[in-house]
Amino acid sequence: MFSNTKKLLVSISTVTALALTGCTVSNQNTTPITTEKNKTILESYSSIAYANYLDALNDAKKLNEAINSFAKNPNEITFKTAKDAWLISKESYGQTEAFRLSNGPIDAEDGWVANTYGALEGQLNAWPLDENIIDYTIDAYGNKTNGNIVDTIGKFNPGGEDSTIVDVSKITIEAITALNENGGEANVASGYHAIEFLLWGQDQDYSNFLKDGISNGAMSAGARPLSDFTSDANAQRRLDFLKAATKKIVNDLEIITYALQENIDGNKGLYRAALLSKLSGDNASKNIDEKVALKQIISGLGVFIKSELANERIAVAVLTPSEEDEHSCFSDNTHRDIATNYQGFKNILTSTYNGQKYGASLIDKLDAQSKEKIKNLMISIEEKIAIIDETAKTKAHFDYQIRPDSVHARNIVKLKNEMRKLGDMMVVVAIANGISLTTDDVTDIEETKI
Amino acid sequence: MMLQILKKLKSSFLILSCVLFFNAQLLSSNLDDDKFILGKSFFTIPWVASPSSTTARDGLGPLFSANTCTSCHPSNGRGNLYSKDGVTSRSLVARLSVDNVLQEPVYGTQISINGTVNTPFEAKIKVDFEKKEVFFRDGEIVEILKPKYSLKDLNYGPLHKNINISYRMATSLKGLGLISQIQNEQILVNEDEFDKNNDGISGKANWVYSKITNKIELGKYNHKANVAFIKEQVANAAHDDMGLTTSINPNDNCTDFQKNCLKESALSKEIDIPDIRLDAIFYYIENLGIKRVKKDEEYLKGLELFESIGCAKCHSSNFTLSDGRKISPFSDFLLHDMGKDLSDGRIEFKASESEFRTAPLWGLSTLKKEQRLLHDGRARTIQEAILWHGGEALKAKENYMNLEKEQRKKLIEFLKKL
Repeated sequence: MFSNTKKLLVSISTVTALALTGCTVSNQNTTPITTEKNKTILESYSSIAYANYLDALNDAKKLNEAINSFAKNPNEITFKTAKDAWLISKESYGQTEAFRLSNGPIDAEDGWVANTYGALEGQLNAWPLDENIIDYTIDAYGNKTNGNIVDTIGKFNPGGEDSTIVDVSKITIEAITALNENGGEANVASGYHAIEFLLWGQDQDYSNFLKDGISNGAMSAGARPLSDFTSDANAQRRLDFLKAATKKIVNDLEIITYALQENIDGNKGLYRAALLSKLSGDNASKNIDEKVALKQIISGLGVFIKSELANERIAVAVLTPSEEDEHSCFSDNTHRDIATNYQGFKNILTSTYNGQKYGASLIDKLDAQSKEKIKNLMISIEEKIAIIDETAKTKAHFDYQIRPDSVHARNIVKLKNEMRKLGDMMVVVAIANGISLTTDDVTDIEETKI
Repeated sequence: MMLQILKKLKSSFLILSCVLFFNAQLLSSNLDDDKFILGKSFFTIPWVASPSSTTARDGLGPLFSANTCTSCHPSNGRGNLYSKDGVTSRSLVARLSVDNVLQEPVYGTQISINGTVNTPFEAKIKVDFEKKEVFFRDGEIVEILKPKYSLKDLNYGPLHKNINISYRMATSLKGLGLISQIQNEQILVNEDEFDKNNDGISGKANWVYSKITNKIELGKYNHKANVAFIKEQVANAAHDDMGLTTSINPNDNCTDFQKNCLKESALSKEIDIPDIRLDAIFYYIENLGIKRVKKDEEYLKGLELFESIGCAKCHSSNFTLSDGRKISPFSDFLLHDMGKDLSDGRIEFKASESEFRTAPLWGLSTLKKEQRLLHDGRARTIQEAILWHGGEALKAKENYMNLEKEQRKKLIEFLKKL
């Protein structure tokens, strides 16, 4: 993996345009293959969205298959295959996250898009989570916790605000769907991170200002023993949980992916057609005005890179500092989350996916000076992401890089500062595309200052 | 779940995109931003029961009403009366007192509607209303709702026979930092406790005990101005609403009669929100922006009408901060008798049963339909809130009711733009 990073750094030094690549596993080809200049920004956007979600769906199917094989015959090999499949599935899904916050099928909260596709983001990737409700943990005083979905046979109360009781005699898709965010948004029972916890278990290197002093080293992630799936009394329930949770991801991703397909078939393809204003007849009122669509996409990009990635996922982790605030805290895959999330942002901004240019992009109409500014910011960001990535793979996982005494913490702090700046630049990108945005539009509303 | 939060704000930021904000956002410094973001994270991310493996955010309860601050202050605004599912929202709390002592022997200072798995919740709040009609001189009839709130499912036995319950709605947090910068003298200059100027409006400062300074201070915050500092209110809310301890409130909110609560509380030995995080949350709240109103001709006309019927005697519009900035919170931050219909029977320091702090009116333009007005959230509309005014505000209300319908509409339109 070290050589990949080197390759990336070389590509940065020779770069001529914004077609920089991050360092995603499925995305190591840095040369654009084709350019379809006649595609509009929105056409490119919807094609990339479809291609990216389709990849995520296929990777989720492979994850589900790997889990099924593991469940049939749990051994060290099938266990590792399952974990690898999870890591790969996050490579494509991580990039799709940049499609969020844009009133699209993944997380639109109001209106027909929400009613049609059900805002499944909270089912797919809810985070952060209180893993206590899923399976046993070791608490801060060294005691094993109980009273969770895995060890409760019968009725389970997830606790929290106004929680409702769910029958978990059998761990099914229906049961985990009903439990997800039941009693509070941290009560997560479905999605990538629930699966991550079931596969890796707790990675309690340290927490709460380093006070509890538990450390398994800078290169260790959670290490759930295989016996949790074989000899342990609840082994079968964990396997059932994994099967249900991975199948549910496939089901949920199908809905989003089909929303973006080209042909209209019921709700399938409906969102894409609306985004491209292609609906007629009774559905014509669903068409999204081009300016509105662009505004949602650009402000969504800004909020995503700034408020979500830079602030919630990086700043909070490095400032608290606490490993429980890193995005993939069980598998210690946070370096990839950062890389793929950023890659997703860049895909949309440059209308590029997997090295392929899809058509006109949001930055085409930028003046030379702004383009240069964005380009330089992106180069600098990519260098820092590459350092985090390389360090995580060779010396210290992200949870050790954020320690205040770590030399890497400065790199991470600078990275999030630059990502904030890049988010604010979306105002300029919007103006270049004839859309009026303010800094507040590219900032989470709860971050509006005096 | 971050998504949930972002989802929430996303829909609102699209709406707000055309609104001007006080925005010194010419990004101060990344350090300030960091503190702000850290505060926001602790304000929005759910807390969980302790002990857990989530040590930075554990300590919820054992008795609590909400597990995040945003549960009661959606988008940092006022609370809703009902949740999305139509049940009573946790933004409404029941504050207890017995014979003017601000707690009930068994239940403590406030009803917790939730408990951790091993500690039963205290009670639930039942919201009910009695419809009342208000008749205007010009024949218009308006229906208003008189609250018939009560407690149900009491899990720790009956309440003390002399119990007084005040139901309180979570207030908006926007602009609190600006209010904190108003000099005490500027507030005290409007005091007229014995109405020496004979305008029917008294105006009394609330002098309250502060746990931070251990002194008597000028109360500025909450429905009865019973708290002097934002940070103290943050700590009080964390304690009463979420069961989180701080250096200001180091003990969990269990009474001696609540054995499970005490037992669970004893399991977690540390302060739930260490000072560095409390400071960050405080910093976040202190720096929340508020919409700036465009003072165009329409505004000035509306203001003239507002002043002409006497509203501005309490909802005064202008303060100049020490840095020269002019702000218009539309409150004098003093206590006024609001009459027996609004009285909540609760005495807090100098505030009598029927006295309330003038509610700041800024931010009404961002009010959503679900957000109710007045201290207990009884008013569905601005007009309903006006119609409940009594006591010192009776005259102003009558003046409003005697306006031509067209004028009344104009006044409401003006308020909706604040």
